[in-house]
Amino acid sequence: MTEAIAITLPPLARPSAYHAPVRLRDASDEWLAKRSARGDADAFEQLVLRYQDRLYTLALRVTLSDADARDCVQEGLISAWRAIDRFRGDARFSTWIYRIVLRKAYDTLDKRKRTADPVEEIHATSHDRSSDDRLDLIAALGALEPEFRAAAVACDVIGMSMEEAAEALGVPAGTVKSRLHRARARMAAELEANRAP
Amino acid sequence: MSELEPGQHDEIARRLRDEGPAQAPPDIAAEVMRRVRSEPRPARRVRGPLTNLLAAAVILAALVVGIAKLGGTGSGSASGGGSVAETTSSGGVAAAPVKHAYAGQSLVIAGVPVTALHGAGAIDALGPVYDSAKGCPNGLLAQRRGVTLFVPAGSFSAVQQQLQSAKALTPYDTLRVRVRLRRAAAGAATAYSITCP
Repeated sequence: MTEAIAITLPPLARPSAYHAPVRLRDASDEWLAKRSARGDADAFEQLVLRYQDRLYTLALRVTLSDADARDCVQEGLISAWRAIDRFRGDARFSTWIYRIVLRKAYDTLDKRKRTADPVEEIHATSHDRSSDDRLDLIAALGALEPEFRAAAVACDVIGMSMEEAAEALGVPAGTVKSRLHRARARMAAELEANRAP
Repeated sequence: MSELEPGQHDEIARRLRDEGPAQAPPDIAAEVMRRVRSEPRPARRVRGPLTNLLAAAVILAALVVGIAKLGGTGSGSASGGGSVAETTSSGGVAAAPVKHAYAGQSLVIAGVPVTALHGAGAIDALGPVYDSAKGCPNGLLAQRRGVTLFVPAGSFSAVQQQLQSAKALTPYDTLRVRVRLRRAAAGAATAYSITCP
């Protein structure tokens, strides 16, 4: 005669546990971009919050102007929102958005060159912590030509990989490497000259 | 200048990483999102492979039609349409190629009973078509595919009405085909003919 054995099974997880909405804060950039492409402004806001500092830094260090940097970031993000359905998953969202803002920054520099707009004093940037060493570093960065500055900002300040920077800057990786090398060398020379009595 | 020690490169990179980042002004995100939310949702473009294929097919069809119309210019068609060389074809067994000058107007009638086109039940106006239809591959009309019918301009309305009447009067379970009626230009050499599917 067989004996009946009672086995206690663990309670089933509630179905909602399998379909819990992805928290925006934890979602990947690409997922948020897809949601944004469907018109989800909350998802896009998460991307804005996630990238605003890096985009502002990028634009500020390239344009050397707080006001221009604000414009570049704002216009860049609005352009991104309008074009987000064209963002394809074959590139990283970060590279895509950096590229958009960088293009705005270059446009600003071109416009400034044409109209000879004065650049506001970089030291006056209100969002920089003031410290003499830091201001020297920023001034040395600002003394570089825009393309060298952009390479140094992309790789060293923002922390992009060489390939990512190449894509964002629209130049080959070898060019980024060489520009970065020269940018660092010039900055070191500039800082050394300032230090000399 | 470019002969920096590796340590100096690292030092510049470290300082840029530590001291380069700036913080975005607090109102940037709010301003961007205010503008984003005030704009209509971005139009989502679904561009899957199927959509691309469909788009390519539509473009190809438009090109074929355009070329056909261009080719017919100057054919003397009274109604301003072109003439087009149609070749009867299908399954390797087809009636001999016939040329039709047609006035560029056509009409599609779906669900025409096969019996209205050939055989003993063929409608009166289509007497000559019966012979042409026999040139189609065996059982072709019974395959519920489309046929193209060229009719003289003067009989176009009569044929259309008779096909529509046959469509309405024939029992539902009769085999049916889609008929494209093409209006032959006045003076067309071939009066009635059928283009096999």
